[in-house]
Order: sequence, then C-alpha cells, then structure tokens
Amino acid sequence: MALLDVDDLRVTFRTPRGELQAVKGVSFQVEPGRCLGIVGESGSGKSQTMLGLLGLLPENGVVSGSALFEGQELIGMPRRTLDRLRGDRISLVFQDSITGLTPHMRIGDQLAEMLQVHRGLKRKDALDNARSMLDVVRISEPERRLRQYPHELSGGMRQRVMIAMALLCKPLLLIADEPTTALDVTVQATIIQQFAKLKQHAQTAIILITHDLGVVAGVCDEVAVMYSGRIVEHGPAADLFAAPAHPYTRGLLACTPRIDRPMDGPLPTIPGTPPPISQSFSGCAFAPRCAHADDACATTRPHVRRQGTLSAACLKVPL
Amino acid sequence: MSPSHSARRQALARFAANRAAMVGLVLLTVIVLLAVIVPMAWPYGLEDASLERALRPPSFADFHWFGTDANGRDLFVRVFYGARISLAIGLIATVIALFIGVAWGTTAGWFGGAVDMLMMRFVDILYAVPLLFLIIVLVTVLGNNIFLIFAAIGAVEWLTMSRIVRGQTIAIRNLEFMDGARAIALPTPRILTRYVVPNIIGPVVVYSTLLIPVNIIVESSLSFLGLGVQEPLTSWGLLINQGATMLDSASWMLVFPAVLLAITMLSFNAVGDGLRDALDPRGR
Amino acid sequence: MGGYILKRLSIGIPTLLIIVTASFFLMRAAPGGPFDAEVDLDPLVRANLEASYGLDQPIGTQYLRFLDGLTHFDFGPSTTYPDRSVGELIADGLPVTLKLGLTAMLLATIIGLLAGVIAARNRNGVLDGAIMMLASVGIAVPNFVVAPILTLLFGITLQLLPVAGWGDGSLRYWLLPVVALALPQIAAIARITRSSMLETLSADYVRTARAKGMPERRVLWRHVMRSAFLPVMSYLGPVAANVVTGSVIVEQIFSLPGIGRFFVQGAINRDYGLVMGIVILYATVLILLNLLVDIAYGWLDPRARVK
Repeated sequence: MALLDVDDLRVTFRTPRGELQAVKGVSFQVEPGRCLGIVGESGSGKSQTMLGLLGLLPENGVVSGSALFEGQELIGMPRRTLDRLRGDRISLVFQDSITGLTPHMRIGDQLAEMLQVHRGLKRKDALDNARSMLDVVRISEPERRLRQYPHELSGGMRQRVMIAMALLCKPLLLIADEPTTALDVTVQATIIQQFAKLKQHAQTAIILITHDLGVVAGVCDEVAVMYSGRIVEHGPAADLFAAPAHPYTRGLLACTPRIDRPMDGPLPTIPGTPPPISQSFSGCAFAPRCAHADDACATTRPHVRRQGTLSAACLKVPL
Repeated sequence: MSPSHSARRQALARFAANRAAMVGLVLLTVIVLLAVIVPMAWPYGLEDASLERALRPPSFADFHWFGTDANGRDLFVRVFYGARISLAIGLIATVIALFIGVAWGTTAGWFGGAVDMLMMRFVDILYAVPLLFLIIVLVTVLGNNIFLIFAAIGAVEWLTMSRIVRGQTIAIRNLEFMDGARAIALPTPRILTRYVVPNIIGPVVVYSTLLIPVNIIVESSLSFLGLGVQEPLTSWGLLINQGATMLDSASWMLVFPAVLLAITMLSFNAVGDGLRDALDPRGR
Repeated sequence: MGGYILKRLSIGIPTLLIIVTASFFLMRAAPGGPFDAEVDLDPLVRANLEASYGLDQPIGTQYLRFLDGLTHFDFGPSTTYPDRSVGELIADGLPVTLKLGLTAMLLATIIGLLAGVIAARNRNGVLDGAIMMLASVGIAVPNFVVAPILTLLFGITLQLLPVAGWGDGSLRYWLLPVVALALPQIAAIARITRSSMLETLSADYVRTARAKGMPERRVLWRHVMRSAFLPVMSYLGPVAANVVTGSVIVEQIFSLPGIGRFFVQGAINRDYGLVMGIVILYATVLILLNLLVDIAYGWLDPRARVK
C-alpha cells in the first residue's frame, strides 16, 4: 500500500465572480523512501494541491476527492485528528519563507513548540533538539539563533529554519514547496543532499514541488508535470527526462539550459502564457500554445496514453 | 499620469454598486435639499415664538411635525435651519483644512530633509493636544463668532490630511517620470500643480469626505458646550443641548436633531468608505 | 528596551515644553483681558487687579514665573473662581476625571476587543453583521447624543440610575457617564480588532502554525493574538485623546465635578489661567499615556524596538 494515495483531488475557490477550479482532478501515489517531483509553471495548481491535501486552503477554498495517508482519509478529516498528523507525520515546507515565521516569537520557541505539542517534550529538551536540527541545516551559531526573532535572520536563514522545522518530528512524508528557491547554490546542494539522505536512511517519502528541473533531476524518482490544474505527464524521472512524451514537457525541458550540451543560439521558450484558471476548456488546455495541436485537440479532452513507462494526457502521443 | 477615462468609469461603477454608499448619497441629498427648502417654505419661521404653543409634541395637524420647543418655536424649521449651519460649518471647515493640509503636506513631502522634519514635527506636536481643546483655546482667544468657528476648526483639522498628502507626495516624487519633469527643468510650483496634486486627489477626496462628519461633530460639540453657535442662530449641537435639558418633559426636542445628526454621520461615513473602496479596490 | 524608552521620552518632553510655551504666549497675546467684560472698571482698580494677578510684569518674567510655578503644581490664579487657585481646582477635579476616563478606557478596550474577536471568528455570520452594524452606529453617534439618550432610558424612563451628579461617588453615579464615554470607543476598537484579526488570520505564518499541527486554540493565542493586538495597541493613543475630549462633554451633561467642567467655564469666561492650566495638564496626561502605549508596543512587537 502506498503511503499517500491521492485520487481525483479537486480544489475550487468560491469568488464573487463565481467558482474557480484551481485543481481539476489530480491523482498520484507516493511510496515510503521515494521522492515525487511535481513540476509546473506558477498557477498550474501544484501548491493548491498540497494545501488542499492538508486542509490549509483559505476559507473560500473547497477540496473534494480522496487522499489516503496510511489508509486514513485526509479529505474532510476533523481538525483534531488532522492536527495529530500535520507537522508530526506529514510536514510541509512553504514557499513564502520570509513571511512564514511568526514575527513576535523567538525562533527557538517556534521550533520547540512542535516537539512540545507532538511529543510532549519539556521546553528545555525540545530546545536542545531544535539546536541540533539547526546544525543539520547548516545554520551558524544555532544557540544564538534560537533566541533571535525572525526579522533578525536573513532570508536564506529563515528558509533553512523552515526546513529544520519540517524535519524536527522526523515525518513519514515531507512536502516541500520550492524549498530551495531563496538559497544560494552551495546551501541548496546541502539541503538536497539532506533530502536524499532522509529518503534513504529514514525511508521518508518526499513530494518536491518546484519549477527547477535541475533539482528534480537530482533527487526525484518520479515526476508529475502539472498544467492548468491537471497532471499532463507522469512517470519515472530518468525516462521522463530522457524522452518526454507530452509536448508541454518537451517544451519545458527545452527551456532549461544544460551544461552537458553545447548552447547554440538563444534558449527556446514556449510561446504564449498559461491560461488563467478562470478559463475552461472543452479540449486540451495546452492546445493554444502547442505546435502539434489540431482541431481535435481544441474540442476533445485528452485521455491518458502510455508511451513506454510514461503516461501523458495528450491525443498526439506517441508523437 | 492622471487616471484614465476608463479607470474613472470603473471607479464610478464600483461606487454605484456599493449599496450602503448609494443609500448614504441619497440620504445626504435629501437632507441638503430639505435644509435649503424648509426654512424658505415652511409656515413657521425660525424665531416665530408663541408661548401658548410651547412644548407641543410632534403632530401632523398644525405642521409641527417635530413638535415645538419651550418658547413655542417650531422644531421642524429649526432642525433644518440648524442643518444649514451645521453642514455649512462642516463643509467650509473641511475646505480650509483641505487647503492647509495639501499645501503643508506637498511642501514637506516635496522638499524633504530638514524642511520636512521641521514641518512634520510641528504636526506631531499639535497631535499631542486633543483637537477639540485647540479649537476651544482658539475660540477662547479669538472670541465667539461663527466665522471664527469655521476658521478655528479648519485651522486645526488639517493635521491628518497633511500626513496623508506628504506620504503620497514622497511616493510620487520617487516615481521615474518625475526625473523627466525635473530633467526638462520644469519650475517646482509647476511640477507640484501639474503632476503631484492631480495624483494625490484620490486619497484627498476620500479623506475630505470622512472629515466633513468629523467637523460637524466638532461644531456640534462646541455648540453643545455653549462655545459654538449662539442664539438666535441655531445648529444641531445647540438643538441637542436644548433637547438634553428638556429630556424629562419634551424628549422630541432631543430625538429629532440627534437622529438627523446620526443619519448624516452614517451617510457621510458610508459615502467616504464607498469612495475609498471604489478608488482603491486593493485596499479592501 | 532601555534605549527605546529613552528615545520615546526624548520626544515627549520637548513636545510638552513647546505646548506649555505656545499656550502661554497665545493666551497672553490674546485680545481682551479677563476684565474686559466689566466695562465700567475704574483704571486704578483695573491696574490694581492686574498687579494682583502679576499681569503688569514684563512678559519674559511672567513666562519664567509661570514655568517655575508649573514645577510645583502652581498654575497661577483663576479669574473665574477668585478665591481658589487653578492648582486647587485641578486637584479637586482630577480624581473624578481620572476615575471616569481610565474606567472608560479599560471598559472600551476590553469590550471592544471581545466584540472584535467575536466578529472576526464569525466572519460574515449573523453575529458579525450585528456587531459591525452596531459599531458603525456607535462611531457615528457622538457622546453628547449617547449620554442624553442613556439618561432618558435608564434615568427617566426606567428610573434605575441617577440622572446627574456625583453623589457619594459610588458606582450608580458614574456608571452612565462611563458608558456614554466608552461607547463610541468600543465601536472603534471593535472595528479595528476585527479587521486586524482577519488580516492576521490570513498571514502566511498562521498557515505555517496550522501546518505544524498546532491546535487552533494555540494558533490563536500564540501566533495570532499578539500581532492582531498591535493595531489596537497603537489606536489606544487616539482613544485616550477621544476619552479626554469626551470627558469634557460628559462631565457637562451629567454635572460631574471634574476638570472638564472647569475647563468649559474657564473658556466661556476667558479665564486664561484656568484654560491654560487644564490644557497643560491634559497634554501631560496624554503624552504620558502615549509613552506607555509606545513602551507596551515595543514590548509586544520585537520589530519596533530596533527602529
């Protein structure tokens, strides 16, 4: 049994101008000790999927579908039960680390409270644990940091505090949303190494949300590509990078500079922009930007087709 | 850089869609119209007193819709005559505050540095004293005269306006197109009137709308304390004062001016909030 | 924190000195002395009167004397109450005014906060709508309308509480004045609390706290309340100013023997010494209160201390 089994997850926002579907039926599984990368441009619904999963949507957000964690249904789970999972067995690293820490609480207290609440530790023991976790994410002078407030730390340091916070309770599942974006390259590498270690030694399952394909290639076993609220391609990372099936994935890969290949000419880009989530399609959402699209793509919802180990939602596959 | 036509139309549409603001606008229009018409057209005049009619409760029969006061004067005409004075003081004092505040704020914001510091320090100090006290001090010193009351209220209520305007001015001064204006050596007063003032109009209009009710309350408070408008003139504050002393025998003397004052306050606040939301939809 | 307090003090003290100086010269430069009303005053009598109030001295001397007097609570004589000094009048009235004002502030803060939090927790619900509706009315209706209406209701119609006066200073005498004074402030504080709660509740760090599995109660108390209280905290300065202003009106309405009534009497009679003395006192009280607010703010918000 998969650790996390998500089936047909949908996220809808009620707005004054009607309902907006941000996530339009997403399914995936994650096994212990494996890492799933979720890739897509901003607005593709990748962050909303994770927030919906953990009951963290804003008030006007509604989530439907199913998400089983260790066989327990997360969708519609009462708050008290959910609180025992969140932060303890499932933890989350947010994208907005700069504003993600409570401004009026000391770093130490924000870390320690997790162990106090989930593990019933005394404050002093919890702080000791927190200090060693700061060491793990390579924060200098951890003793002093514990007594500092968020505004006294640099952006990169705050991001690492967030990561330390997520690792503190040794979660079974770690969901990290753009965890390394604010960090410089060397620290980024350390964090990614850390994730890889977690996966191997602690059998932690990881969902890594990012637009950085380099990071995905480094640590992920599987990749799901999202576009306009749907997963358009899904499969083992190595195969997907070697020979992507979906035209959108191809476009994304072509846009990424690679050091192992010579650069000839300017970096290609995908023409056009992703559609706003308010727009609904009867056919394929990527069709307006797709070089291979024909009339059928504009009118028929693409079903999933296999190409080797990959599955892609595209009428034209295999190309 | 002045807001484009369509932006203005959008703001107007947003305002029109705001129900509270529209109700407020209608109520204000009705009150202003009544304040203009009633004193001219009513069968009783402001000072028509007759003791045999004293303290009549409200009735439709003899046109004493709001009843009469202790001197037998008709309250309906007095309340709307008072509306004239209260609204006029509210408006004129706001205009005075507007001029001082905009001039002070743009100057401080534009020149910055020591000028800014001194000017805003002055504002900070005045802020430390409750404004009603400053006005009472001014009225004490200058004597009790309706025009001086306009001036005193206006001369004191510009502080917040100047802060708002200063902030806006600094923001505009730092915009890129201003470098262009300076590069072609436009004279400073010209830059201020051509570029800065048009760009601060939104917040200034909103704050002015919200300042009118504040000034009406200030005038009413003064008159209520016997430091503002004096007989034979009247204003809402004075009427409420007279009503408060007759509470046990003639509660209508309090109720009508008080309710009208409250409606006016609510309406101005609703219109002001509506304008703010319409002009700055992000601020919600 | 010590440096922060010193810095706040270094702003407050010069402000007070400037207010004292300005009000002194403004009053002295004012047209029409306190004895103008008595038209037929014999020149000799006038000169004697002025001498007895020290008005014949050079202005500089008068100013220095005045400053010296202030340091030991001597605000000079009052022309309205010739047998009492301004200091005595203030000493008489201050306890009443302070009791009234501080109780009203406390009441406004507690009830305003409660109402605001309840409204925010029931966002867009019936309770929220009712509270916000009452708050809009409360803000629009000034003290001098609230007070007579309360009197009419509880004093005259229901005959529950005395209509005016201080009596023996017991609760039944000051309950209505305090409520009349506090109501508009309750409304304002409730509105600020509600919007600041809602803003804080949607902050990223609150989402982080929830993602950490913190129970909602802990999220509210540890992560939300302190930040949400900050705008309310900084509004307490204006609340103090409004309460002080309102106390002048409320004391007048309920015939309470506080300094507000002396102030109005002084203003009507152009009693410079009395008006000036009371303005200086009010300004001192407000500057002190603002200082307290600033210190409390610094204590609540670690970011404010560095600025």
